[in-house]
Amino acid sequence: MATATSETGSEQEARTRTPEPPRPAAEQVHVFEPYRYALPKLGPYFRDVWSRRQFATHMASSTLKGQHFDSFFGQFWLVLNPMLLALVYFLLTSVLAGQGGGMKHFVGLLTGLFAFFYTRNIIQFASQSITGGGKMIINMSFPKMLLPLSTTFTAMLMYFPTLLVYGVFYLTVHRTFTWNILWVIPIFLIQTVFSYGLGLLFAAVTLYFRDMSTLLPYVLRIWMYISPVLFSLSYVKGKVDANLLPHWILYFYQWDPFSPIINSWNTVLVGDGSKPFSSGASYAPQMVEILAGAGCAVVALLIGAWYFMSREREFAVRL
Amino acid sequence: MSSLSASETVASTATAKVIDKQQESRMAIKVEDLHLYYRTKAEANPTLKAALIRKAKRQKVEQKVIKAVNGVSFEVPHGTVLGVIGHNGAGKSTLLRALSGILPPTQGRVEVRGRVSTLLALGVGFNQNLTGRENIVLGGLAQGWSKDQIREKEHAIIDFADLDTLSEGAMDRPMKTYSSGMYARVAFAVGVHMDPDILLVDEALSAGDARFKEKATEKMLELCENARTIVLVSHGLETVRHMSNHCIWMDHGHLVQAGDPDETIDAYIEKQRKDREAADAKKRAAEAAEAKEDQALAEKAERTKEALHKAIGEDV
Repeated sequence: MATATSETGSEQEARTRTPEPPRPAAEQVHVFEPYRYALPKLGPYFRDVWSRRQFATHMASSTLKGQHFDSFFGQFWLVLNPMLLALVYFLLTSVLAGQGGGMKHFVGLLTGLFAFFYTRNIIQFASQSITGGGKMIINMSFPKMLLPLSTTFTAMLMYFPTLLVYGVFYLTVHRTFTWNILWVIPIFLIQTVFSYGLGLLFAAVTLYFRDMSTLLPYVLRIWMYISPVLFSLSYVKGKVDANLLPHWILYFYQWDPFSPIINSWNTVLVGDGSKPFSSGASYAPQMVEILAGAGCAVVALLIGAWYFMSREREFAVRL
Repeated sequence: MSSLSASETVASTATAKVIDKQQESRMAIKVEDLHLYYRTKAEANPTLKAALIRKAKRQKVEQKVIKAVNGVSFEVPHGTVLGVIGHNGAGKSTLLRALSGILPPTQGRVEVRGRVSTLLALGVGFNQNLTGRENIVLGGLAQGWSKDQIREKEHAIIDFADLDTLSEGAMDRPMKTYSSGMYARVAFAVGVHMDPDILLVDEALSAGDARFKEKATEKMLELCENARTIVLVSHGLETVRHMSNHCIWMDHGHLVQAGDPDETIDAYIEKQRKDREAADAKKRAAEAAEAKEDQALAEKAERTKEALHKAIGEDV
């Protein structure tokens, strides 16, 4: 009986007790249960990503600042480095491969190279972001997607100054531009989404196969040779027609998912694909290529995000 | 009596439900039968090369399961300071990582109500090349705060870290020039100023000199008074005794005892003493056995010597 009274007592107590002062954050309930290889709940996940977006952007700018890229010489080096590389490839393509065109050819090369370096940087930085962010991952709970996102911003911040320099080159050589140049904005977005998708994929894969980080630079370099970065599609077609190159090489150019993106980019900046690197050609990109590029970007993002997000709860254990 | 007890049970279940609901909302952390295992592979560094070679040789990776946390259940109401004690490798840090959602449970369930801030390691998200001031922003953002919120707290954090008394203008120098104590001060200051509902701390109090430690303890007590929930993992038993009002003792992934800090810590110390004594006794026994063996050998040698003497003597 005694227990009964005490219980009713506690019941009354429980009822009469004023409720706890409202603590708004107490509404946040986190439940952690065994993981499966499945996507987390997308709503809360992306809300969390959104609420931490400043972290991703700030970490990107801080990384560059930490490497003194905010100073004049830092910025200068950001531009000089791809320029020197472009010079190397210019010598390679014009002297060794005999692709003529002088300064216009150089500007055409810069167009493709700068764009390709941007994609390459996104993928390479992202692939190191998870294995390199170990301390953060094992000590903090946050959507891991932010780490490749942050390195993507880093790559973007490194890309913008080179675009300015490119603009100067472009204007001195072409001395004109059409409104078609505004196409660079959607193409840039498509390219960023595409590269980020691949970055997510490689970020997760590198965790399972650590030697991927050594392998990846080679894969990316070979990829550069078989997409229309150094050699335009028409140039390669000409070589194939003249039986100087095997026929199957064309398939790479046609089926490379990056091809439509870089082709549109080249078209907008240096003219029609059929008359590469020469003025007087059409600067309007082909709609088919834009759509194909956008399609590839969405597919890359979906695959990359699915692979990354369905495994990210395991990252802390794998590190 | 029987009818009474029947109605009583009905009433009490209803009551229990009410209380349950009330308690539910007051529970900050609820852990139900938590298991967390690490699967360690024989290979320390997983590579594609190794995977391909294995595939070619049709080998399988040896897997070893380490049961870091093994069937632990407990509840922590809001406003509790929970101390977690245990030997090295008892699963304390793993438990904390499970509470913060970093490591997914292998089995069981963890429920956490409130905004969680973790101080598992100092200076997470910091960039050594940036100044202390910049790292405060970076560390705060890493904890999931907006820039405005950090700007509000920046002053308090800088005051708390109090680097100027150590070295003038240190806040605006890159953190790679800091001593480890200065680094810890900034990191700790960022961690505790984020006023979380639930703070998970792992050995972070051991940072810094005596004066800073005192300050840190004070700050933690202040946090506790504001009805914050703190889970504190520490080997500093006196710290736990001083600060916590509830304590759990873990041993090899199991929860051994939970309750009043004084009792639990005393039991833990007692166990440690016994363990040590047992170890000492074992060592003594081993030593004694060794001594005995030595003696036996010496005796044997002596006997041989005597026998030899005898033989030689007789010969001569």
